[in-house]
Amino acid sequence: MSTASLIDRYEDYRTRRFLTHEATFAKWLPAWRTRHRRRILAGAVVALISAMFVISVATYFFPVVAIVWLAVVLVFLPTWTCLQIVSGRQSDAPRHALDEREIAERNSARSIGLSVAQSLLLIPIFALLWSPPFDFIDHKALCYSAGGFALAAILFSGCLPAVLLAWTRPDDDPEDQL
Amino acid sequence: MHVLTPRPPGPWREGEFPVLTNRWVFTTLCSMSPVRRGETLPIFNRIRVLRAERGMSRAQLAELIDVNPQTVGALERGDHYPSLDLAFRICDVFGLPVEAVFSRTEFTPLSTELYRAHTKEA
Repeated sequence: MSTASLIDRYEDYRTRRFLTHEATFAKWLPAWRTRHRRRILAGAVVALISAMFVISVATYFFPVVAIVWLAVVLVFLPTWTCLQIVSGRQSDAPRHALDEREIAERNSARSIGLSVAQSLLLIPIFALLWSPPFDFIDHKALCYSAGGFALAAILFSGCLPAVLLAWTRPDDDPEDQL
Repeated sequence: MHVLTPRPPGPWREGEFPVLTNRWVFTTLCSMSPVRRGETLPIFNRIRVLRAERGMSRAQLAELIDVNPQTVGALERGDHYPSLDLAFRICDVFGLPVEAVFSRTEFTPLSTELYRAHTKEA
């Protein structure tokens, strides 16, 4: 089997699975499908991930703060799930499930997410690269802190496309439903 | 009434987004210019008029050209400029040449054009 046909088959499978899920969740949370409420969810996701960044830095000074991370994750997961449901998972939809306008929007949002990931990940990378010569640094704490920061950075840049699409998408036009 | 006026080049309506976010994020996210840089030339279309003439809903047209109904709305508002493939699909539905549906210049009302054509013939 050629690589191209393997990829095509996987893409077909992804598309079928996505459309099945979309059909299931399309009617969920109808009251949260307005732009205003989508923005509330998008803002909540950004706030929770920002809290993860703060926690990761704080763990360098107070390791016990890492426990708060778990509490934030417990709130983050349902918030993120709701955001994905009300925004139709456009940010991670397979190519064949979207039309040209949606693909263009998704690609722009993903491009921003990738740029943000590259920038944010440089912070823990350089912190780890430059710290070894300095004895006054607690290297063990720095590893945990930088790891948490990198995790938050990956999470933030991975969620950013969905956040941006949810934020910018206008309210549904009633004429679209006729 | 039937002349569609796309908004001026730029991805947002005045006052729609905060000033700061206009600068970078939404310019990148919403700009659908086919060229790398420079001025985005407008593409006017008659999709709404032609659809109304045929009593066709956005959802029906969207199904015929295999896009989301929201994309038909975006096309009608001038928020999205179609690819050549999509433009041809739309023209096929209406049975019209591309220049009858899309134009670089604003369309005059169809009734006016029709009346002028009849007047010239007479």
